[in-house]
Amino acid sequence: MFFIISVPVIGSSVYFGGIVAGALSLVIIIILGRYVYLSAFRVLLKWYRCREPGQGELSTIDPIIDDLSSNFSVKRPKIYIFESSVPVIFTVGSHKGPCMVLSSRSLSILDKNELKCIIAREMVRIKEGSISQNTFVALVAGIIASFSTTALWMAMLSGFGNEEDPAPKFIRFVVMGIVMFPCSIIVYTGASDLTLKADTEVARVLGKKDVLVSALKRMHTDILLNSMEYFNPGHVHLFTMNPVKVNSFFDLHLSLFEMRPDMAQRLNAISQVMVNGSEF
Amino acid sequence: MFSELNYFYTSLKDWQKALMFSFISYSIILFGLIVAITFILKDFKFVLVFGLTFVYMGAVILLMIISVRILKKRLIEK
Repeated sequence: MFFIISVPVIGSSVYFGGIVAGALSLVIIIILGRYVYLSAFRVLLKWYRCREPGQGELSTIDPIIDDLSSNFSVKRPKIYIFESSVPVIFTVGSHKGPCMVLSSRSLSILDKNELKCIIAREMVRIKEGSISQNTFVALVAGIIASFSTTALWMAMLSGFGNEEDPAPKFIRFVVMGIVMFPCSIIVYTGASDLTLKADTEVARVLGKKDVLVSALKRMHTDILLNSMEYFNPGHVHLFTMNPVKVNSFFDLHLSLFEMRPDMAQRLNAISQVMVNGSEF
Repeated sequence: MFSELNYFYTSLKDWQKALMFSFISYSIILFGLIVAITFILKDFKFVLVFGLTFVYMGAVILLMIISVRILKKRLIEK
């Protein structure tokens, strides 16, 4: 990513301004790239309008997080909540520390033990150490993917009709064709997919396969039946369960992001785990 | 003819259809570029347009081939 952006900028700086300008632009790109890499998680937290939980709001979850942090030997993540009708949980962060984000729906549909399993999945991902990388990929891919929504709004504002009219939809479809292709490649090449590893690790360490299976099934069914919310496809690699769905022909490009193993494959992997973990 | 096209379209998987429409979207950009160049130069320069099309389409097709390889490895086909 850094290479793709920096080569044309440095090349043109050297061409127009000489070696000194090229070196200067290289230094500026390195500093800016580092800053964006480290602050990507703040942008994503604002993107989803996350808020810190109020006093006593997560009193049942706090001990679980303390417990799991010590179990998995990871730094305790800061907890954020965002309002959503979709049960998603994800973790963003930088080298300073992880931030775990829970949707309001996930808090309402999952019971305490199921939440423990899903939070444990995030702990496995934190332990793996790819949170910063995944966060940066989500920021870049998310910005690219959001150009299609921008095109839809530009079409509507320039008089092509309403959101349900065919003309803005068609313009969005064409722009999606342009942006979703590189966006999916960035997600596939940049993000590390730990879905099966996290599932099996949680089943092995916590030892309650049936609770994990129940949590995953509950989230999956809720997304299938109730989810009408649009999620940025550039962020799919962050989520426990992929909330991006192809609802119509105009969403066809979203099928490029069906990167998760399907439920059957995940459940099969969990069922094959030899349990020797601790009890709840 | 139409039934064959229909058969071809329905036999494609969703991600293959998405890539096909992506290719069409990138072709629309090329068409826009050719129109813009022709208007700016006030003449249709065949060699220039042919060269641009060759380079542009070559890059797009190469990227598509690479992405198909990546997608086949990482994408879960339903």
